[in-house]
Amino acid sequence: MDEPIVETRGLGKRYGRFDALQGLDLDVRRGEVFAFLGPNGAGKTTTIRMLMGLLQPSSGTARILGLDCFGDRAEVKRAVGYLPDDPIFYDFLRGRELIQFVGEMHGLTRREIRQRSSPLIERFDLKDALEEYAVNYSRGMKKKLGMICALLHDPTLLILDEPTSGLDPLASRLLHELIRERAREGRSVFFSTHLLDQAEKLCDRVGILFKGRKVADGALEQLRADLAEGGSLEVVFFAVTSASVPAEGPDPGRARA
Amino acid sequence: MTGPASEDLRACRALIKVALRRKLNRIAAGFARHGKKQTATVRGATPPKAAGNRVLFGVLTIGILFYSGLFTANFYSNLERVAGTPGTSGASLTAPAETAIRLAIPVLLTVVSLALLFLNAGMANRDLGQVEWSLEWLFTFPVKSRVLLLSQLAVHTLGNEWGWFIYFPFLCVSYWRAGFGYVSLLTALVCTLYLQLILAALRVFAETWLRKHLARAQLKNVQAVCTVVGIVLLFGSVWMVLGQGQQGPDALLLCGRALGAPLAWTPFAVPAQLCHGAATAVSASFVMVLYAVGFGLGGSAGAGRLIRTGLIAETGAYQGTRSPSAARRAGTDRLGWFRGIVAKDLRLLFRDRSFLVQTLFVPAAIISLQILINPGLLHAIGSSFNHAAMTAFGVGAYVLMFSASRVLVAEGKSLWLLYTLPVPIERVLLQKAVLWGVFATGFPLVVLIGSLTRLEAFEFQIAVNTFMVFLGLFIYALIAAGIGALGTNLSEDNPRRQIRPAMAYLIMFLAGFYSFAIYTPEIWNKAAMVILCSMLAYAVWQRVRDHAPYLLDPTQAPPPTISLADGLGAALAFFVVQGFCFGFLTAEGRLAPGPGLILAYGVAGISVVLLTSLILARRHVPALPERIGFRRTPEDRIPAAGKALLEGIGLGVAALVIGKAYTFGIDHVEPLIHMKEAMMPHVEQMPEGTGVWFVLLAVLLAPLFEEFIFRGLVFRGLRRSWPKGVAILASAAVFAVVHPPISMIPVFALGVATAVSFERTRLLAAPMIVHAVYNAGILLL
Repeated sequence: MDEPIVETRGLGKRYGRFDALQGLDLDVRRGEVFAFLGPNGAGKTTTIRMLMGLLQPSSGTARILGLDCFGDRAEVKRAVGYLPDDPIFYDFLRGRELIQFVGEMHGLTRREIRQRSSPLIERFDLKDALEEYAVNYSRGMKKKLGMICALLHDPTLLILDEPTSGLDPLASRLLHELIRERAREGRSVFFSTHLLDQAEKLCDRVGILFKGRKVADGALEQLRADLAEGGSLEVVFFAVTSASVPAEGPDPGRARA
Repeated sequence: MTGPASEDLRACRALIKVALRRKLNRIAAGFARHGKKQTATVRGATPPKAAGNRVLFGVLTIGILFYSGLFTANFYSNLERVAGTPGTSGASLTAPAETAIRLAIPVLLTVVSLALLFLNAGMANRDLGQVEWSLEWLFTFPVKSRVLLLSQLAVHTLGNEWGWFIYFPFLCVSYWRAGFGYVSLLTALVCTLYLQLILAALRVFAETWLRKHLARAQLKNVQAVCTVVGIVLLFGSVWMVLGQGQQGPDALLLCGRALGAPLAWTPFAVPAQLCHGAATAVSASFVMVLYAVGFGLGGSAGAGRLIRTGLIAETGAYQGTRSPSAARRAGTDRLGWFRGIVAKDLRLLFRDRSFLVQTLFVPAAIISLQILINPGLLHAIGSSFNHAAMTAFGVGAYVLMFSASRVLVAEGKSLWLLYTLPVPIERVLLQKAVLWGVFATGFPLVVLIGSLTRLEAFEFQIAVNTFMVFLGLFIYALIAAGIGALGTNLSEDNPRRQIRPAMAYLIMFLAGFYSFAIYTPEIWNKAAMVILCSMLAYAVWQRVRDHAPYLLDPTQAPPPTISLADGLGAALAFFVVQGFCFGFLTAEGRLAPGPGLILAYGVAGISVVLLTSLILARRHVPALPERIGFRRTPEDRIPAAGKALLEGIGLGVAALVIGKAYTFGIDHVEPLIHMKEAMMPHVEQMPEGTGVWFVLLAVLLAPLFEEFIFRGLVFRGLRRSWPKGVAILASAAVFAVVHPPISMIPVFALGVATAVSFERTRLLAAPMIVHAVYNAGILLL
């Protein structure tokens, strides 16, 4: 049971001469909600895209359920549901057709698709919009649709890139409930966010990225105790992402100094 | 002090500048090198423009203008001929002929202008029906809407490249012909601007109206209709200008007689009136000024009125509920039989009319134009079933070039969704390719059925060729889809530019290759072409599979390795170089055929071995010498060199036995004798005195070079993806089909023997020995 769901070792990604991510070691265990924090451009989305097999790691490995995220990318997807930050759907498919397409590609029968999607549609209040082209949806509605698609095959792990951006307060709360529910059922959730209070409310552990490096990782309580003398996550965040921290950062001027 | 007027002017200037800059950048990007694997220092930066782009752009522009002018001059002389002038050059036109031409020009100008108008709303318009509409953003600036619309007017007037390439040269030649001399350049410039302004005014108004009244999905469909109308009008005018024989120009003159006079003073036709004497020219100029002011102000004011209550359709984005019954009526459940990718693609195809038009209508329209311009073509197709079959395949391949090659483009920005599914991308693409293969049979089916109905007697050959057409379409659907996927540049926004043009040519070139399989009556040649083309398709898909995981990765590329494509490329280069060298060396008696043959063979072999090795080394294929089989890796658990040598000799002898049995059988066993007689005309007689040279070639050179290509590259490339047995058989088949039909069977046996020996020893030397033993044995015995 202790085998980690997500496991990265020395994971790195280079774009040309730009290091987007370096030497990332992460573990997410079963039933855990893991929040991935960091300023813009810290490498959160790059990490997520590598976990999803969209990008090949330049160095290190990323594994989900023991399978290589890049090499076994199709097999990995049986256990993973994914919601990108800005889901873009085909121009001329209606919401219901997209759900059906995703379900069929996961090998579900029409009946199973209906049975699994209707409670989700009900919950996300998307029923009225299902017969509309998904491309005409607002950002929040697209995210709800993406969420339904991601949950359709009941994945062991959910990977969410800034899941609540663009969602209304009601939908955000719904999403929070859903995340907690899944954790209770022994499924894991890995999400990136800018909202510190969201992370504080939801997660068991956090990882903080800064300029492509992990600067903190651990249970919330422990981080608070270690880095903020019992203060809030916000204090922790600013403590580890203030410019003075990464001494071995990619800035050559700093390295010389 | 800056007044509001000067501020408006400044805004206007900035708007025009930014729009034209965008246009130029877009054109420049079309010339820029594609290729995703540059090492950029910054994420997502556009690669720096190549230095030669501007020069190339300039040269091309001048070239197109010149060509267009030539086209017009040709048109006039053609028209004069048809209108009935004395045949001698330099003779002046008869008065009725001149009148007929004078009446025809307004018709032509009107048709061309309408074509441009529809194309501007249709496929030449990138912004209409897009998610991000630049005008929406511009309206957030503190600039009056009138200024924005006027600047739009100016942008379309100046920046409509279609108009510049069509109107300007046409008018230049027209005024030159009317005796304007060098003033015709200036006059043509002014009149082109005038025509562009009229077009721009209509366009601004029409665009605004469409945006105001239609939702985005509908807009795309209206665009599709506009594209169809525009293309039909444009082709109609090309036909009237060019039509071989007399039909086109005749029709134009006829239209001129009927409509020329009433059209003469309409906005698009007025510039033609400048040619008809000073008095008419003055009134025409006056009318043009009136039209320009009227349309310019009218168009922008009309558009301004439209947007007083908002810029886009009020029901803009989300349109609320559709009742389930309405959805059913809309046909969503009509595709209930299909599932997954097929269902999705069918839905997208039938709903996205602009996609439908571009993939299925445009190729059909281009082909019909060819037939319109060149009626002889239709006659040729009708004359024999073989021609019809080749045409059918050509039409299908052409459709595939437009459609199947877009398998990846069609996924566009939604490609991420496919990566979330537990299905490999290449399998999804393959399904799409097969689907397009089925679609592409539509037009060929029409051609074949049309030809079958004219048939007098049914022959076996007809059934064979019909089968060959459909088999070919299936293979080429795979090739077109594979090449299209490999040549797709996903970082390019314009869907029409996402596929490199070179890829389209490559697809058509390869299709031309297959048409030989339909043309040749020999069943062996047909089989050989099918095997070669299937291998080609597999080679393409092997690369697609290599690249599929990296489609969304801006920097990473698949690890370099030897592919089947390398082997086929080397084989092709080997034969081409050899043929050229032999032709060159033996031309005008430079060398006797014997030494010529061996020298050509040697030059081709050495250059292909060196070049391929260099290319593979530059690609940084790891452990290259070991992979090709120049030397072996220490951990290879394979027989020692001496044993390998013995095995090679053994296998060579085995192949030799089969070869000898075949040559014996071909002279003594009844069905084989028939086959030999059927094939004999295709066996080239050896020229006198080449015997010794031929031995040298067969025993020394052929094993060296052919083993490098067919075992080192082709078999190695296949073995990477296929199990041992299949790879051995397939590589032997490729090896066999590049030989003359009579020797295919024994060569196939040799191919198996050499591949087995290579697989066992991992050393190229072993199959070389097999090959040498076999060739020597055949020659000796």
